[in-house]
Amino acid sequence: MTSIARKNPLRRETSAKLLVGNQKIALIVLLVVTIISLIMWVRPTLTSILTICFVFYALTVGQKFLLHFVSAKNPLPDIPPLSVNDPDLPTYTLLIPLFREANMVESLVRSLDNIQYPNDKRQGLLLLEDDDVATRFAVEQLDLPDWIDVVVVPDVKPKGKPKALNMGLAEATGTYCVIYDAEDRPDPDQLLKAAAAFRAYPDEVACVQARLYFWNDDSSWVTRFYWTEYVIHFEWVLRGLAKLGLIPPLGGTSNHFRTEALRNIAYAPDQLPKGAEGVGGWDPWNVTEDAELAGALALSGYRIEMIDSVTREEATANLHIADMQRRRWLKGYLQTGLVYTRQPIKTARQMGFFRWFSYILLTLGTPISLWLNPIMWGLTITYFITRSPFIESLFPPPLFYFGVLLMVAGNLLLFYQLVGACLHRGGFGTVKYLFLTPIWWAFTSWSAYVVLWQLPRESVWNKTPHGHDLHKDQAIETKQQLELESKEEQTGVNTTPAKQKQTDLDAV
Amino acid sequence: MATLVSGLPSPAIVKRNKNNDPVIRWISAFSALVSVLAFVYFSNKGVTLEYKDAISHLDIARRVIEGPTQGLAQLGGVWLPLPHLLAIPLIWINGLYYSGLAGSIISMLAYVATIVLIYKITQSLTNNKLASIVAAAVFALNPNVLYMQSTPMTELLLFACMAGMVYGVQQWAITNEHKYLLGAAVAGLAGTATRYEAWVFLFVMIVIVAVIGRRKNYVRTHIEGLTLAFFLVGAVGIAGWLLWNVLIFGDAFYFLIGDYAKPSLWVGAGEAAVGNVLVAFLTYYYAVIENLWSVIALLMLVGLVTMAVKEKLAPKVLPILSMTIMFPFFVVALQQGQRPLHVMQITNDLYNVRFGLLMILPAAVAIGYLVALASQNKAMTVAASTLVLFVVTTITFVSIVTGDDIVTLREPIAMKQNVNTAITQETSQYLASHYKEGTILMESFGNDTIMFDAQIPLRNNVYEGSYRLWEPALQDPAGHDIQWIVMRHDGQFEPDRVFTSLSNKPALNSYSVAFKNEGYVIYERRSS
Repeated sequence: MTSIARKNPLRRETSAKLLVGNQKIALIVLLVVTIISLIMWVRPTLTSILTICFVFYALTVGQKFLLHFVSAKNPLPDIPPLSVNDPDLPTYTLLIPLFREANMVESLVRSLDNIQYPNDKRQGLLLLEDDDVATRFAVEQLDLPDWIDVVVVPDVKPKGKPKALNMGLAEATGTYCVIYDAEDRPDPDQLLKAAAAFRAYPDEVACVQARLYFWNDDSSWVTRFYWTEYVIHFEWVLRGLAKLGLIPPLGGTSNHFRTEALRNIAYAPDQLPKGAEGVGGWDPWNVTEDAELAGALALSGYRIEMIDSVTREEATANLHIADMQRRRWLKGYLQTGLVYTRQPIKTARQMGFFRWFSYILLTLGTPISLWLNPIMWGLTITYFITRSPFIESLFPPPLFYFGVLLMVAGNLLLFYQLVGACLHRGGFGTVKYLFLTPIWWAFTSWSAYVVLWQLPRESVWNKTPHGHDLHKDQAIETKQQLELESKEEQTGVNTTPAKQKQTDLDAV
Repeated sequence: MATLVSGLPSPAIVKRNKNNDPVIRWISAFSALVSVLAFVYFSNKGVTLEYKDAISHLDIARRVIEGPTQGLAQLGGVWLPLPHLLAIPLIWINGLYYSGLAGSIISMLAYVATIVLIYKITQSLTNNKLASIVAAAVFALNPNVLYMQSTPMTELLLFACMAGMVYGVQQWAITNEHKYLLGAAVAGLAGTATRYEAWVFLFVMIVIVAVIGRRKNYVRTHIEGLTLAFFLVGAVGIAGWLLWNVLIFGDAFYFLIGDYAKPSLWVGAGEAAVGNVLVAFLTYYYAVIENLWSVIALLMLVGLVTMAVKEKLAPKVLPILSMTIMFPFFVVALQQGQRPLHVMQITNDLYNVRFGLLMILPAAVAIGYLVALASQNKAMTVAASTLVLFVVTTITFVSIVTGDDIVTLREPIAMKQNVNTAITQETSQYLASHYKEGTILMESFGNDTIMFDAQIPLRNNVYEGSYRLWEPALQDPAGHDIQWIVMRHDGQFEPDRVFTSLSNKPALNSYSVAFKNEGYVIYERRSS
């Protein structure tokens, strides 16, 4: 398996610094040139900037819809899960980082126990922060199954999930490993499906990603939009990227890895925080370490595939917490994009130009488009109110039509995708909330601007609190269990009458 | 593909097969061939631009890219924009503009799409390929359809969008796959950006979606979500059009009540159908008969009634039956004076008789359904198909050869033969032979063909859509570099804005009369 990793890949870099020397110089030069141009040739400069913006929009919207089209045309391969009795099942490590989640521990352990896999072939590692007394206490109160162990993560800066994962990786004994968050409820046969996928795919596939859904889509208008975005991201964006052989920025959880591949691409110990080195599979400074890891795998010649399995998560129902979470995601994407543009030519050459470009378009492009959107809408509204000849003069006819086409078609397509996402996964009650789409889009841009404002500051671990919709989680667990039993019955394994189970399912 | 790892057997990766019907390829190829042949035939007869509206559609598309105030605002606020937007990529080529092909191509592509969709709708309904081919042929070989698809008019695009809506909703009703419902909504979006009839049809389809949801015993939230999703995507074009009217004309309902949009511009006070439901009904009935021929109309009626009864209004049938809503819609529109339509049997003339052609869509599917009913016996199916195809082909052959039985062509030809057209043509000919250069001040409304027939570039025309140029030029033409003034005076016609603004005004002192006939007067600026 080691033969897959490139012999001399570029040294993988961390996000300990947001910008490095050449990036700082390039940014300053760009800024100075723009200011001078604006002073000397204001209209041509603004027209040029608008042209660049429109080309950027065309690329991002184009990429989004190419991925949608590819996903819609190519259903996920149907790989049957391995049997739980398969004597050749590989060993599996489950990494579960926890922070301030004492309230989640009990339901988490119950959910982990629900996963089908032989106990002697799975290893569960609860990654607890040294200073998180409450969660540690909650874990100590539980009678943990034999296959679950605890790893205490030293209280060393930077705090965060990637550092915990690195500590966990150092202890991992499984051939494969997977990350689950405290609120995750994976399909019970997910490990068996992932193991089957690893067996079906060649060694260069180092990671398979399951789809994430929110179970509490109907809790508030915020969870409804989160739910819709997740459908788009996991059903179309990531699937499309994987299908085209590009780089899907991984979701935070339910990504299954060949453990050896993670070790192959690990940071050198001197790049990691002292006293908490572990094995550096993840960038401790990156707040979307999953997205960065996808790039690192690609840099070393590995591929990522999607599997037809679902993990249910809990979306935050509170707008303020949602704002914090989005800031983390956007900052992480920005960090990731900047890391992989430090040596753009070498990186592009090593990843493959299109893979690198689409990856950068997604990571850097997401926050940039959110910064640009309010400016473009502002410009449009200002023009229609004032009919300003100055604004008119900035748009030569070809640029004007290009812009109009992008505005109309782009917004239509994005809206169509939102509606499609609702129907795709049965979110019928969410459709009426789509009237709030402009507010949601404004909110996402707001978060992006806050990120821009806070960029120079040191990152803190904006851990998203969970557990407010645990009653729904209970229902999901029961439903999953019933579905599984129903499936077993079809294959003649179980004896509970199917009719009774269907009644129970309907009740759930 | 899957490989073996560590010597373990690799689980199979199952890929789903796609179901491609080879008949669709043949139908597409055949209809494309018929489309081209029909265009060549009507083009050789010089009748593809007989409708004045055909030229107006071309002009609107052309003015977006050429004119003193070129730009998207030239799309205006009365006619819906999609046909013009689709024509823009070709309209800049003079040969395609003056031949009308830039607009006809849209109709021709829509013709092919509609035929394929009718085949698919009937196939989903009957599961009988021969019957579906017959249905497609009923539409494809209708002489009025063949003529209209050769013109830059907007009817064929409307047909394609309506067929798309019906197909999408029908497929969703059969398969429960939401992608079809969304596809139908996109077709609705395109239709509502093409012709106003599609607005009515979209709202009918929204109701149909809700009814189908109810028939499937979906819960209220489910029905509400589906209906709203269909509405949100389908009606976004309507919302966009209202917004466009606000932004450009300052009134969301300009397209309804604006100076160039009022129904009173077309519907005379003494219209026979206005206020009389029976006459309105008969008018539309005759329009349908004229377009479809009696035998096809009769078969349509039998087919639709049989379908409704035999299929017990099943979800897959409801979208098809919903197409018949256009009949009562037109009856009401005529009775209310919202639409003008004349037929020989009522008013002894023809005007907008093509409105009756809309019923060809349900007619085609209904006849295909009737043919499929004979499918218990293969010989009967073949016999029924042969009979229908024989009738349809005979109608087409007779109509095309005699030339006189294509009612949608008879109408504009008859209009051209009246004295007013001769006056307009005389005016165009004068300009064609005397105009050399300079800007022409002329209202476009009512004079649509003059610039086109004279082949004068639209960039040299200041008209009512010339933003910030039109009103000042009407006040002081010489001060705004107007070289020629063309006005429709109060002789044979209703006078136009140029006449009412400038006639007998000192602003004309710098101009002398260069041409005058019963309808028009042309002024040329005196050389200083």
